[in-house]
Amino acid sequence: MNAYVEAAYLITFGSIGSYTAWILYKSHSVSKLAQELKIDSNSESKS
Amino acid sequence: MKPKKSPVIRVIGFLALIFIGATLVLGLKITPPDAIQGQMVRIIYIHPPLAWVAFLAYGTTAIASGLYLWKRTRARIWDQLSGASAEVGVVFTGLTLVTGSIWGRPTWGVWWTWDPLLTATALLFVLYLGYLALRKLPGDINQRSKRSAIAALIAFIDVPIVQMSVLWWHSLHQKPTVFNPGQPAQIHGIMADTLLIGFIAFTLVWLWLLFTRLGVIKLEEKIELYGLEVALRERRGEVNKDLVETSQDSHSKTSLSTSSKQGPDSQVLVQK
Repeated sequence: MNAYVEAAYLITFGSIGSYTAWILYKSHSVSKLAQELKIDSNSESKS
Repeated sequence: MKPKKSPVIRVIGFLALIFIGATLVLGLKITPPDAIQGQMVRIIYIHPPLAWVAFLAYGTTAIASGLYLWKRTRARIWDQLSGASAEVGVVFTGLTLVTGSIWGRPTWGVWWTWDPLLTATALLFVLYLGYLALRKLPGDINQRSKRSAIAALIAFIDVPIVQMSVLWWHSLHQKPTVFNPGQPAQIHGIMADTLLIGFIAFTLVWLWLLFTRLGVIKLEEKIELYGLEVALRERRGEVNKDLVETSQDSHSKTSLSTSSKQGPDSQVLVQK
């Protein structure tokens, strides 16, 4: 396999994977905080 | 209380994984090398789909921003959707630039050149980074949303410029291949199928990322509003406390001043 192709695929899927992991981590930590503050995470905000 | 993840989002995530797997297997193992580009052609299965998703994301941001600015349809959801989509768009634009640069090095002999398409894409990346920075500015949430929505609409002007730059100006980048029958270099068979699967895979990834990020943004906003509410309550409580103290102070001062006018005997009475 060509090194350029390998690099392109690795960077693309590595970055998307990292971004996905970050969103999931963020989702987990924000949900935990909402739970501690007793905020209903499923209701719509009316601001 | 975890945000409810809709079954549709779960299905999208599952399908995205299948299509990504198919793109990887077909793109890296099954499709043949190109007669001219050799193995380098394999980047085509990820580079145009990344650019497509970036456009899709910015299109969604522009529509959502327009809906937020229009008084009849104004709702928090449009601002939140706009922010979520722009963030995913920035990630995909960055990857479009990186994969394009990797493809450009062996093809054009340079990692980067100030070609109209490349420059307009780099500008697009910077514009939406600015948009995301604008969203983080402190201040009134509705004021911030309005400013961001206007910025998103201004930034979107660059999207058609990027798309049309290869036709408007002389560019190193090739002209549209798939939907351009006039183009001599065309894509057929398994190579065309893999490219289509790549487009579907990245679109599904975008949808999953968008809705998951949207859920996080909604919750973050609720926490922000809750924090503001608590701060306001505390402030009101302090203000009330201050008011009570001030009124008590002024009352006693008034009594004292009244009593001091009346003489030492009455002061003793008030103090009692």
